[in-house]
Amino acid sequence: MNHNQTPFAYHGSYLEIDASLGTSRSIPLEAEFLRSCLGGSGLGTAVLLQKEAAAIDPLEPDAPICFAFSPLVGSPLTTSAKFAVVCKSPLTNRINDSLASSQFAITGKKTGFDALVIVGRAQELSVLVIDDGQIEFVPVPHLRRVGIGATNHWLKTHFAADYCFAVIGPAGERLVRFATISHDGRHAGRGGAGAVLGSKNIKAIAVRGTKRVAWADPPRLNQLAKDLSAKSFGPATQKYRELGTVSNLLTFNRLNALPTRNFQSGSFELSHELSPSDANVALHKTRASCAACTIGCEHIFSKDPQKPGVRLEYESLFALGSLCGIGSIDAVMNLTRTCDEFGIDSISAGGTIACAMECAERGLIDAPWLRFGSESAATRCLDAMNRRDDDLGNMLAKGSRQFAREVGGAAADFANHVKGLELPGYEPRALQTMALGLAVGCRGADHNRSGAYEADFSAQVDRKNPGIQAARFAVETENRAAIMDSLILCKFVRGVFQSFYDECAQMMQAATGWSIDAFELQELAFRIVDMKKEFNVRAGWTPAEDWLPPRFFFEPLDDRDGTKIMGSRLQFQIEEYNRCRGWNIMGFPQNMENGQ
Amino acid sequence: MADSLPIDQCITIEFFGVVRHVAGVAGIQIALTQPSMTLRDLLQEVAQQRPSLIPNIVDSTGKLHTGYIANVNSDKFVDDVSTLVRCGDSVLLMSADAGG
Repeated sequence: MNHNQTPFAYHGSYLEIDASLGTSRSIPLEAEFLRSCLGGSGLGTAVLLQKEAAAIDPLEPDAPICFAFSPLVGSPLTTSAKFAVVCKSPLTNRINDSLASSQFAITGKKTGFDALVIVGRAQELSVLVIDDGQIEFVPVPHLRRVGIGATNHWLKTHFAADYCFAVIGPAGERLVRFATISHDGRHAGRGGAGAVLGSKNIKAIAVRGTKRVAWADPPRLNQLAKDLSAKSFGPATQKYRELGTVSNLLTFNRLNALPTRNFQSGSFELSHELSPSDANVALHKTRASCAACTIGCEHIFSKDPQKPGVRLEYESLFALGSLCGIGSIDAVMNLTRTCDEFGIDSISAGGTIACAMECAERGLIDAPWLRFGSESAATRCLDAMNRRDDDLGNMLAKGSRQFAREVGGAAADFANHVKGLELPGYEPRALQTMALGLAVGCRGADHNRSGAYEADFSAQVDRKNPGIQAARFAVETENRAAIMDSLILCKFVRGVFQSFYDECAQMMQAATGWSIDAFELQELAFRIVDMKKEFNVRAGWTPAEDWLPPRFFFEPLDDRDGTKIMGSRLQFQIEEYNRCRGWNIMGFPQNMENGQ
Repeated sequence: MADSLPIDQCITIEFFGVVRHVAGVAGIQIALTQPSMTLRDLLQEVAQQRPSLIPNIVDSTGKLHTGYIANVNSDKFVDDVSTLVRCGDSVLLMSADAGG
């Protein structure tokens, strides 16, 4: 503790803003509470539980959205400039914690709070300005339906240079259920936090501040930061530095793990045309880094070096490329740029469009123009879901699960989601430890909350038949992610640790002065996942949600073995996963068997 | 990758990601005079043919750096360098980190 009993590394309070009234108040956060949830995802989930957000429709004014900072942000530790946006997802109606890296994290914490919690609805489209703890709503009706780029440009020309911004695009304003919040070109992307902010009539949040936290042991923290930075230049991060995540594409394709044409195949005959290193297109590439990051994983591509490039990631390449049968990197760059400009999550956009393409090809909807491989069809779908001014666009804007419900008939068989969240680019039949991780994830099908694929890409398991040990790997990787998302550190450094919990505990000791050790962090990892599950149970979760789409059980993968997922084996793994978490066999935490 | 050797007389090595970036080629073939060899011996051969892979990816004794992994026939991942690989096999070398 420092002199006023506020724990080191924290401010000891969050700012609650009521957009309906235009008021704010500081809510204290006790040290014991902070130590029980750390920050980021953990803090955001704990605050949402306190506010009983699980029972509230996420697009209603009363629904809170929490921008949670972390104990490590603002420290010299590489990759710590991150924050979590935590809310009930309008796409899944379950817990949603989206993380982004940017100067917004550093500056947001300097407003003097460990989190910003917004409820209510502004009377007109506004910028929420938070200046050293003082708030103001600035009406911006002229920014209605304006894209991310132009909005950022306007903000930067009308606010002082020391402000940082979180921005929604037209998709967020129109409540597209997978709308993003953008910061410096990075996105709190999954689950529709942008729609929640849009429902509050908030186009952007502008933050600046001067309040710094104190560190318990600055020399020790500096030394740990130097060590972590040195390790971040090593081989464990070489893939991210040299090539970026796009290099996954050809690897996954070779392993029949590249989702193609709405998961009808695990390999794509045009994969080489999607790979920046192989495509028959001359591309210029530049590299960039998030704030306070030594890795520099951002690889920005353009055909014309005089024009702004597009940040390409594996997930965008897969979702807007192979998943939609589109074999042109130029087309994927155009589609990615459109998603970035509208403020739309490219994974859910691609997953929903691919579902619609398959429905159209199977005659379930009358759209002869909507075919796999068509860039123009994908572009038309993105425009339609962003505008929401016709039936198709309105259906697409709700994500694949609701789209399929409204199409009816067999369409649900072609909506590849878990809990409403579209699958990321990891073919479950080819990566069956990850299949378990996708099925049980509290956020839905997600590769950032479950890293179970790490076991599949190792000699520890047979990736197509991982057996009961899949449960242990799923729990271990999910727990590590829960800690990284709460400290917060970027997952791209996860490979540099020799002893993950020990090293993270050392960072927390130096930052906070707490005698926190590896064992306590391991316990906290379980607790944070428990809190997410508690939120979901309170929101109406049932065990049937922890499952995969039907395709993976009934349709063989186009690999040598015609691999499918065996339902009985997955069920057994889920029960073991629940047991490892200390939940009952159905997946309810202790004392919540009846959903209370 | 140019196929110059009969498939049943060689092992095909396919490079992915950083390995390919460093090697400068998509893959190579290693001719075998016997039906099989250990992964360690194979990796030593690979390192001799593509010295740019030493030392950050393969060391001179035929061990893969911890950030990289081998897969045989796009099926099983192997980290035991005493594993036997056989004529006609494809050995994939890639980053162990599949995060995206």
